[in-house]
Amino acid sequence: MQQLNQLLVRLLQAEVEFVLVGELAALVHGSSLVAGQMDICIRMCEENLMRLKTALADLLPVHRSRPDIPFVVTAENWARFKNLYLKTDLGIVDCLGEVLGVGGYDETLSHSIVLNLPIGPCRILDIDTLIKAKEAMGHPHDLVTVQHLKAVRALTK
Amino acid sequence: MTTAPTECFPSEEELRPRVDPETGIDLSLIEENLRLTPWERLQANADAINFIDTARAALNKPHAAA
Repeated sequence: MQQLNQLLVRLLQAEVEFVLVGELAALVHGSSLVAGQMDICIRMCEENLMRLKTALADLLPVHRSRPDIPFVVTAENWARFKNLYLKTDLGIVDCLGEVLGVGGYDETLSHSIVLNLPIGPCRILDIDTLIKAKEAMGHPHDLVTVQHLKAVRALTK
Repeated sequence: MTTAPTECFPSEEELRPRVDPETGIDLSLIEENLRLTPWERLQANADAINFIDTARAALNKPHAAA
């Protein structure tokens, strides 16, 4: 069963440094499109990847294109990861080292806002930058999201 | 069953949800989402995903005998 909100709880409890991006961020901003996975931009450093490992430890995380390979991060292998495409018992989470059209973690963080959720504060890409990122990706489904986000922006002005 | 007098009943056009004429996006769905808190939006999404998963699982099961 997918429980992306419970996955979010895990990440916040483990103090993973991340910014919510992608379809779930669009949904939080107000898009009516269903988001089937979580995309986050994370700081790709050893300490943060160890926090991610802790957050997902009992959720059987695997690399989703190779579910036979479990997600294992160690002091020796962490630097090889640029992006992580993971499947867990609570759903899919793609962890990106950078966001197309925006930049790396620090740049993404500088374009984020804080959401005060009942489970704690969570950073999310602001709507204007999310539109820019989705336009940079440019796939048909990204452009549909852009249209939704522009409609949200117009309705909330 | 009673029905409203024809002259009082709004036209189909009046009852139609508001749609962006350029994109075809149903703005009433977005307005509905905007009435929720961000956390409620996440919960509604989780419910939708679970419904989809359940419906897909049901599709893959043989139909029950009548």
